[in-house]
Amino acid sequence: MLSWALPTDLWIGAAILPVIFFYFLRMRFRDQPFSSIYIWSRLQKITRSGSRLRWRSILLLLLQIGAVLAVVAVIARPSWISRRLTEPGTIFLLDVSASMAAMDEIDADGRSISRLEKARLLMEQEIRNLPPHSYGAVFLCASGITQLEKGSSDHSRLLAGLKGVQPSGAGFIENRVAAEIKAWLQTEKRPWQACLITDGGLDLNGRELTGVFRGAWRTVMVGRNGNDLGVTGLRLLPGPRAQFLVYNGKSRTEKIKVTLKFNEKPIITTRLEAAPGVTRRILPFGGTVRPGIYEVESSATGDNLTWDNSYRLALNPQRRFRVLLIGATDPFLNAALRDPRVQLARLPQFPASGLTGSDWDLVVADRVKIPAGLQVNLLAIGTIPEGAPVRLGPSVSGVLTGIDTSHPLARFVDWGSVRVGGGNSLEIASNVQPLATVGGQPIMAVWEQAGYRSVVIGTDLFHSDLALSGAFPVFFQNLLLWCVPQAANSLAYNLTVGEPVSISEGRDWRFLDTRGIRVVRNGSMLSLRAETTGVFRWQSGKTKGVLVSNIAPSELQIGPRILVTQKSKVRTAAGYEVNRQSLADYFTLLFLILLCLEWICWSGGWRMIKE
Amino acid sequence: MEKKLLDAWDYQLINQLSLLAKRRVAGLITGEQRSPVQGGGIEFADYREYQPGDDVRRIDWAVFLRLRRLLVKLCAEEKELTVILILDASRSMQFGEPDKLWLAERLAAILCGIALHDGNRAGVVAMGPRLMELVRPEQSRAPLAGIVNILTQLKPMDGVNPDFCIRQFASRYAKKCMAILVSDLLYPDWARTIRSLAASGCEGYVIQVLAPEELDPVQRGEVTLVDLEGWGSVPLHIDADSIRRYRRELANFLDEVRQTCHRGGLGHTMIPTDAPLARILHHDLTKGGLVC
Repeated sequence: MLSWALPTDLWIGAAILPVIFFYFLRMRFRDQPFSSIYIWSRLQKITRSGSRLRWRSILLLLLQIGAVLAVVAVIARPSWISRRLTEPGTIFLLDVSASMAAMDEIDADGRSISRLEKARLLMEQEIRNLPPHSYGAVFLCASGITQLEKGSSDHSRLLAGLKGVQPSGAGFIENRVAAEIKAWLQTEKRPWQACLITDGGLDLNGRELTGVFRGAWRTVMVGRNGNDLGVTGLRLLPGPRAQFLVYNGKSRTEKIKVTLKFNEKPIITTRLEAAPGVTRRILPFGGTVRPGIYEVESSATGDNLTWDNSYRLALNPQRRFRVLLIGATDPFLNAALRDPRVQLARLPQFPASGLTGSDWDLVVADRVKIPAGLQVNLLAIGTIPEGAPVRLGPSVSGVLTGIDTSHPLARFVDWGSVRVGGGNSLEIASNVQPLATVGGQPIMAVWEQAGYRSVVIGTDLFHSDLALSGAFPVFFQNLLLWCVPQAANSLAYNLTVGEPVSISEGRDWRFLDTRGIRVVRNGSMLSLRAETTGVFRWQSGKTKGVLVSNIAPSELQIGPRILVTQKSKVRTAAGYEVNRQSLADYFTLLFLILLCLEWICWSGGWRMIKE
Repeated sequence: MEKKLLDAWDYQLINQLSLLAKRRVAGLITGEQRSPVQGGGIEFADYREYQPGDDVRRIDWAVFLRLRRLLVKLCAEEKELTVILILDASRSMQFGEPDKLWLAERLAAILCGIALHDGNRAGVVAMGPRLMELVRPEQSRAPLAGIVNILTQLKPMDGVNPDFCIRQFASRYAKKCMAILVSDLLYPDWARTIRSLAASGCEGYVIQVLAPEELDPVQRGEVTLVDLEGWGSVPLHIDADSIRRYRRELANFLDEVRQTCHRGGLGHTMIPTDAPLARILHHDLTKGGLVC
């Protein structure tokens, strides 16, 4: 079946009308008086072909029309869609979340094994039960998916891929798993049905995956009991006191011993009774709270899951905002930046040699020329950086109106009736988002480039009431937090395995050992994702700190749970495998052939070919 | 301003050249050309056996003394030569720059002038729907200027019938004259025309006049060639290849004309209209044996 990606472009085919028009318009076979056609008439070959010349002329027209139509076809991106009946494949989803490490299963010999090991055995059985030559694919699922084997009808390869699978320590984030599975399915031509082997730790109870597979999936449950005792959710309260959660998966109250440690040294140990379910405990301890690693550890007996017996909390020195103010002294800016968390430095203008020294969290340029190629977060007041996607426009004055947007800078900012006495509107590119306007013209805009964030204000604080507005300090705080997001998150250095966190740090910020954690830098922003639980020490200049990762709190609950779908009533029928073959290249080739034929026919080359 | 058919240089050519008749001229009036009637003249022509009745004064006694045979000395009698210029006045002769008819008229005028200058007679006929006698030989003692004037007024005609005209010519002037046909011969019956002229019995010469555009067509692309003589039209896509074929066919045609003339005992010369007249007369026609 012929299909067009851009069928509206077929209107370009109307271009054949001018071709036909000019064909009839052009002068053809002009009369030329000649003394005698006697010699020409003796050339029978030529004169005979003369009668064919009119047909040749029509052939030329047809070739021209064909060439135009071929070009139109190329523009409209034709493709040939063929469907083929295909058997559905089976996706095997193996839950490798932290709870799958629980040792509450037994093998055929009666030995105690983990849920993951049991799940692996079950999956091997499922794969062996597949019809011969049927397709299968294996994915490990937790905070995301990892494909062990591409879709294959070679079942031995699928089985080999299952060897050595380990629990990830992450929680089962169903939303993300479903999204990634859905994206993978988009790349597949055949229909798929799924089989999930899990202990039931899906945070959305299977609803998302049901939607992805339209019900054509089933779950195989592992896990015999919820005999788990664990601690999680350590927080420090004034007092100082340590708050944590105790999870008791058993049906009776258990006595456990809990130890609070600081940098691996016990501070206080206590015995407590843990009622079935989750209970919150608060443990006062002496001394002061200092930067370091706090850890709550339980000594549980008869526990199925051992690695949830401790939970760490990283406490780092308070992060200060390193702000560089460039320009003449401005009392309004001084007032806005008068904050103990702000480490302020001043320069009259940008140094010719560029910005060196500390990595600034924010550079505020107040009515000074800004050089191009700055790699910093920037607030430009009454000035525009060179090479920016923003230009100063005509002068504007009037009331400042905020644009209703969910941008972090606009959070809790109400400009009210701020007047702008003078300034320039901004002419912005498509990748720039306006934040406020005066008279309908943008005067405040924001954009991101190469991981650095920039804000431009077309007026200054002397020609407007911006600094007098109560929204200005809020706006400034938003700007600082936007540039340094971890400042607003007290748990920014406390990760959950598998879940990414973004922080902003300078170029000299680094981990002393990067094993077990993945770091991706984009400008001043760092994306961190822990792959295992543990402690990760970092250093920035002379400043040192720690970052910890724990298993997801939801993974403590390992009791058998009922999912939305355990046994599917829906089966994926054999579907059509849709093959889409692009014909654009063929039409391009056809166009070139038609052009060649046109040239050959027009230049008389056909006669040469004939000879 | 109307162009003059002959200029001062042409008159010089007339004075410089003479017609060269290959056969003896028949006629009543003694002139400067040799006659087929032998005996009356002074220029030696041949010997033959003595026959009773022959003038004994013509016996070559020196030969008798050597060979003991009576041979009569024959002498060609110089008679007056009548030259008839046959001009093709068809529409195709109006082609080229200058057109072929103009060159034909000039050639005719000069050849008439040469004939008159040598004391011979000259006449001019034109091939139209029928033979048109423009200058009769018996009237050609008139000044050359009169002939030039008549030739200047000759215009191309439609419906030219060359074969009929030549047959008319043959019925009037057969064996009595030297005929010089000036034509492009670009019509299907050209061979018949030549054969008719050869069969007329007169000494004949064919001057084939062609325009440079006919020798090397300059048209390119899609054209419909319209025959000036009304033989129809032909749509053509003229490119380098067809030009090459045309040239080959034209060469074949000219060769055929030459061979046909040769078989009929006629002289033949092809001249392009852009060639200088002096070169035509001094080189082409001299080489062809028409003038000397």
